[in-house]
Amino acid sequence: MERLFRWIERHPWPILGITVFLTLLFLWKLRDVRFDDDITKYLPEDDPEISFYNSLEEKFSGFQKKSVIVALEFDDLFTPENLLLLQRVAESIKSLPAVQGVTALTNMPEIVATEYGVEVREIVEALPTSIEEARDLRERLKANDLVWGKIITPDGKGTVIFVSFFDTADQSKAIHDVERVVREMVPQGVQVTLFGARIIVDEMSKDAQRNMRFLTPVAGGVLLVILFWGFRNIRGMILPIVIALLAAVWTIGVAMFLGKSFTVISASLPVLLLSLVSAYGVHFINRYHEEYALAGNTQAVTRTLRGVFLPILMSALTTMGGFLSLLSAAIRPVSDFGLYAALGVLFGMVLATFSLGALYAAFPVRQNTPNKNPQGKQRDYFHRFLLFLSHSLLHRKRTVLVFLVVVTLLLCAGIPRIRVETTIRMQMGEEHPITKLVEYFKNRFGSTDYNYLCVTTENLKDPFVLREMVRITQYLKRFHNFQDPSSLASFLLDLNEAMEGWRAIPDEEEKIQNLWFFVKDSEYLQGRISEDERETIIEFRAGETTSAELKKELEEAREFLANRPKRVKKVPLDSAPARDALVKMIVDDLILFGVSLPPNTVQEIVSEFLGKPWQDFVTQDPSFLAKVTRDAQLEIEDLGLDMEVVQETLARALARGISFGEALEEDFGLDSESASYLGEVLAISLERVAKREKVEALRSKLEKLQGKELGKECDFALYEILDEVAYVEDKEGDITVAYRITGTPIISNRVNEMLFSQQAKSMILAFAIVFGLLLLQLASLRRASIAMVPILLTVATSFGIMGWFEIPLNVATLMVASIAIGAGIDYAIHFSARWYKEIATNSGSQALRATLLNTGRGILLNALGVAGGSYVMALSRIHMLRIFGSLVATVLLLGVFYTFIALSLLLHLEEYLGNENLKKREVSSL
Amino acid sequence: MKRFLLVCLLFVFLLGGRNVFALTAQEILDEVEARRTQFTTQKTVGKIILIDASGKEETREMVMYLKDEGDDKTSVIFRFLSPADVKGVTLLSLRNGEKIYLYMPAYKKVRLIAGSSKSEKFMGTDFSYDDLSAGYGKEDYESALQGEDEANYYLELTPKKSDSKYGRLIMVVDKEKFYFKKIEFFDASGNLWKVLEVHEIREKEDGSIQILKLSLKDVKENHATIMEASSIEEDIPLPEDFFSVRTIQRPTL
Repeated sequence: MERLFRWIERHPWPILGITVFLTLLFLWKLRDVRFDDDITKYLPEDDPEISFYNSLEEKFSGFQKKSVIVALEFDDLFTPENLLLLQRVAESIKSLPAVQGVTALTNMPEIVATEYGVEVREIVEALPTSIEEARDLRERLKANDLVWGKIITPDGKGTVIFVSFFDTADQSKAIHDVERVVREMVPQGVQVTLFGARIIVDEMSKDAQRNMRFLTPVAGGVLLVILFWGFRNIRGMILPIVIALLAAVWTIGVAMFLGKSFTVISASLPVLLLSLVSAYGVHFINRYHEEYALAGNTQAVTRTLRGVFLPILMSALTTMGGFLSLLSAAIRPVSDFGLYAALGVLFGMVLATFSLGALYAAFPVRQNTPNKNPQGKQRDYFHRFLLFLSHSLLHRKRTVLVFLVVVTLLLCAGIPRIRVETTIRMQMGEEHPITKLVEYFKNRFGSTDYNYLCVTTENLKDPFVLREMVRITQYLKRFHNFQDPSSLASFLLDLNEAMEGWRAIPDEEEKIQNLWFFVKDSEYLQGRISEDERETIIEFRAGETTSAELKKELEEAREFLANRPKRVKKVPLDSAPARDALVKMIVDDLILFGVSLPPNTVQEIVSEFLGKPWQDFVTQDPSFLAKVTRDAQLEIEDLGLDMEVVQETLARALARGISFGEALEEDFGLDSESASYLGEVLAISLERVAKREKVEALRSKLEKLQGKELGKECDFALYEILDEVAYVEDKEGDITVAYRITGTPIISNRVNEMLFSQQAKSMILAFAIVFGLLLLQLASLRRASIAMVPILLTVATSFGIMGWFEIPLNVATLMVASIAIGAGIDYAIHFSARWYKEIATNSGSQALRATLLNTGRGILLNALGVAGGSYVMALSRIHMLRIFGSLVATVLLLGVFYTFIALSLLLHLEEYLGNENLKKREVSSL
Repeated sequence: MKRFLLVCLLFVFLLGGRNVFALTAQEILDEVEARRTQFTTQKTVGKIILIDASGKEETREMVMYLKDEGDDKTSVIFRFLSPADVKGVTLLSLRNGEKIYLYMPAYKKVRLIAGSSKSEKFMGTDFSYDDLSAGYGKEDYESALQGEDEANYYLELTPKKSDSKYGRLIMVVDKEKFYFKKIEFFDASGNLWKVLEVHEIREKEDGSIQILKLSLKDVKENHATIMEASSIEEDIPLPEDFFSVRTIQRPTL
């Protein structure tokens, strides 16, 4: 070690050269600094939730992480001019090369059942040409729950355009292009707002950089004042800050060389390093001046290093231990911060010893500016405070002890109040522009977060799988986090309604295969089905809930999914068990869709109707026959026949018991082929209408019994009465299905869940590292254990403070305990070391007084400096950083409090109880 | 579903024409356009192959009947023959889609349907309505002859409309038979987007060209669609009421 110190003093220029070179190199890399605060990147990619979430992007083009929402606010959207403008803006965005898809009011699909058939058309098929038409459109859309309040604002003034980008697109550039196109097209007075995960991340990045640029000089200024007070010379003021700044530059530079990005919390790094690392420079310079005063410039650097290298190293190691413990956290911002901060402390230590040593060797002071003599400070406020403290500790032990216990208990009482919260509002603060942006979209268009249910099966076209999707969707709709479902199954429900007149999933796969053509036509649906057609996603809007509500809803949703049948087989209704299984399914579904009768009653009614053939519902009633002819209207008119006359023919055929074809041949003189053809068509229509009548009879009976109407959505369950097969759970069944929930709110919940466990893990590790280093330094298990007490109390009470002040546990506050342990343990080390040194030659009272007045003074000044620097973060625009800085500073001051009071009492007690020699000395001194 | 019809229109559009000796870009395009077969009725049997990003192929066999209704109007019946899950699904388009009917065999029902966005892809293929319906005439494109070699002309077409999805097209036209062998579609930023290639043709006795096989690859999404006609019959006798709702309900056309 001695050789190293001498080498530094003899070869200052290579060291300074390397320092300058590395600094320039890392400064050059600073231009690459980028921030990425996407919550889906908080957890490692191999985390099951994250890897599943990421896998969806590869499977479903509709699952677009690369996307942006454009909101346009008009005085009134429903004018021909503004709707035309909206259409043109959407088309112009779509023509951008990076844009994969655009969904706007003007091109959203809707299924419309017409008198003749089905239309899959755009909601705004033809743009209104007059204000009256625009008003009519407005009234029509007001009734559309999926559009009004979601795509269009409740006041009809604003609307959104959803834009998705190709995977290969540079998202930030693509968003910029979209914004440019929109702003070029819309006139002044139309408010344009863009929203998306990338916009939030970019905005956070800009803010974080602004923070670094603004807060670092302010923290430097605060430290300058403190250092000026301590040194009263330029070198003493400037150099510790320069060292700390260089440590920050080196750290950021290394991170950039490693290709890492920063999160918002990393923006606090330079300020924190300024506070923590400047102390090393202060130690070196302080000691240098002492050595210079003692023996002049001869080997002053070597002597200085001999005195400070180990203390600085030990201090750095304990601080690094605290930070490195954060590496055990599987939450990226936390582990990254731990790594960067530990690196910064290491660089600070190296710079404060090697580089400062080299600098003083190359540029020795010409005239020593004496450090303010400690004796001269004896009458200042600090001295008086410490004197009062030592007096109280020595003469009012019980009072102090009671005070300590009461304060500790009071603070710890806040611990149960701690909660986890990772919302944008909590991170950025209520007044932050990002929070306001999020609030704007939430208030005007509902939530902007989505949850997804991924359905995996062998065959997506299987009626059982599609029906399960409908059932699950219906169940989940009760939760705030699963609103406004959008799925393949709901699209097929609409299509079947247009084809057959009822909103149900048919039990014949052939029908679903026919409907699949419309699915193939829909870009929106294709984006939600995997290439192999074995997986699909159901999309839900996630309403605003607390983390606790989200967790509860998720648990219930997962429990429901866990209880759904996963492997079934299709069986014909020719056995009692099969019929029972169908009855049970229909009863369960009717109750799920709103039937409020007792299950037994519903079961009786369902069993009764299941036994009735559809032929029982064929009548000769004119209204029934009118429904039949209306069902066959296309074919009747195609043959040039009159609907009413055909209806009369039908009535005669039923009355006479002859075939429709025969009756048509007689009444209209059709050739036999044409008559047979239309007869078959009418027979099919008759069956369809009779089946519908059967279900309506069931509906009427249920409605009458329960005294309230059943909504259209109940069609799904009611029409199962027409099923000719049942699905029964069977381990050998050939129909399998599996479900999994994901989405940004789910990831957020996962992060929340991990925060507590990671907090505990990193804290235990920090304690272990620090305790090991204490053992090394104090060489005694008892002494090391005593030295740990103040930091244990500090950590415990810091959680209490978080609870009392409603500071939630999040990625920033999670780190405070580990930082407190790493940085705060220094105080215990220095205090204990001085105590044991003093107690070797003095009485307990003298030793305590000396320790408090000398080492205590250093600790207090250092803590005030560090806390002052950390409190600067309270000036940040980002709420999370404000809280983080304030909490770090408060906790460090708490550390000083417990070191001065709890450790003093314990050391004194140890001396009082244990060591006979020390006791004798104390008695003799009295 | 209207998109079935668009597939038909593509085949119609791609049928051949006659020889000329034009050399300017516009004259070359006019000649390509002029080589359309004249017919009253036509029956085409063929298949559509969809190839996804992973290379998985899906083949659909189809039969298509067309009738020239005059006034540049065409009626079409399009039916899928395979695979089993789509077999029998039939589309009837009357007079360029004035009315479009769909027969779904599982429902035993004909329904009138409406169309969809012109710029969207149809039936999971890589063609959009615009790709199929648009000619490459002077109304829509500025054309320039970029060069030529022994076998081909190389034309650059620039859309006149500012809202076109494409920035430019590079078309390779066969010098002898005047059909385009290849078209490269570039987006507004100049990146290659789609490549259309003609793989197989038949030259009729009158010199007109029938394209039997072509492919369109979406380079951005790595999808491809191949269309292949195995037989084309023209001027076949069809009953007067063939293009009707009743016909498309028959098991055999």
